[in-house]
Amino acid sequence: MRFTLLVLSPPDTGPSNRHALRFAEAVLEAGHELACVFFYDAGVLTALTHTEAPQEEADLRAGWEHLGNAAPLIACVASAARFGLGDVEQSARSRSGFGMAGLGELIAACRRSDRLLTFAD
Amino acid sequence: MAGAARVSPEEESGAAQTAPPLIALSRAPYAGFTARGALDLVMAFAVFGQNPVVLLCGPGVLALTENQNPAMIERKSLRKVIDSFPLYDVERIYVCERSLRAWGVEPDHLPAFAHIADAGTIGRLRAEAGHVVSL
Repeated sequence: MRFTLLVLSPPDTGPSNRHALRFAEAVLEAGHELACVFFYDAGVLTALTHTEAPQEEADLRAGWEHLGNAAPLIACVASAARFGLGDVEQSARSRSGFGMAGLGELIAACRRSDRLLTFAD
Repeated sequence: MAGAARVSPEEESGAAQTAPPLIALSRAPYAGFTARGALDLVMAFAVFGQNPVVLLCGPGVLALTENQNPAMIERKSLRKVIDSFPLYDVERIYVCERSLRAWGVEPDHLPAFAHIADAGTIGRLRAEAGHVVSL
């Protein structure tokens, strides 16, 4: 089965970002596919660099960065601009593994996916 | 929306990718920018020919308040955005009947193209959608 995930929340404000990451990892471990993980609205802050996870807690951003080796991670271009990330693919403020695109990419991913799941706080 | 995580796999849809998507907006219109983002998503789906269906529920129905004045908080009116949906051929707008009552929005003030939906209709919309996007 092929999934698209829509992530609206950053790692810092609630559990949904973590739920999305763990779900994405489980999808791949179970042999399914991720068409796309699309970060929208404040979810694009997942791509931020120069952040520091609380001591002895999971670094979700590092987890996403690792997942980016196995699945396309796309930050919405308009949301990235609003939240000051600029060009996610170029910016020193953005982690590697993240691409940038408009909503058309999300819509295309939906069309080739069996399931769309939304994660938001 | 505050509170528990809105991870909502139970709301997700089946594999009928060719069926129109349902965009379910339950955010208050001016609490952050997610509601505006949801309306942008509706228009994007429309521009890409996906014939989106829109459902407003919970505090999301407040976007339809007729005499709102978001300029006072230096925001643009989401009601005007919704009023423009027919220009994008988005005319399947449903509004949760129970939410209208709960949030005190007068049915008479809804756009002419909006349909009031009871629980059964909302269930059918979710079941028929190719995907459900809940924001």
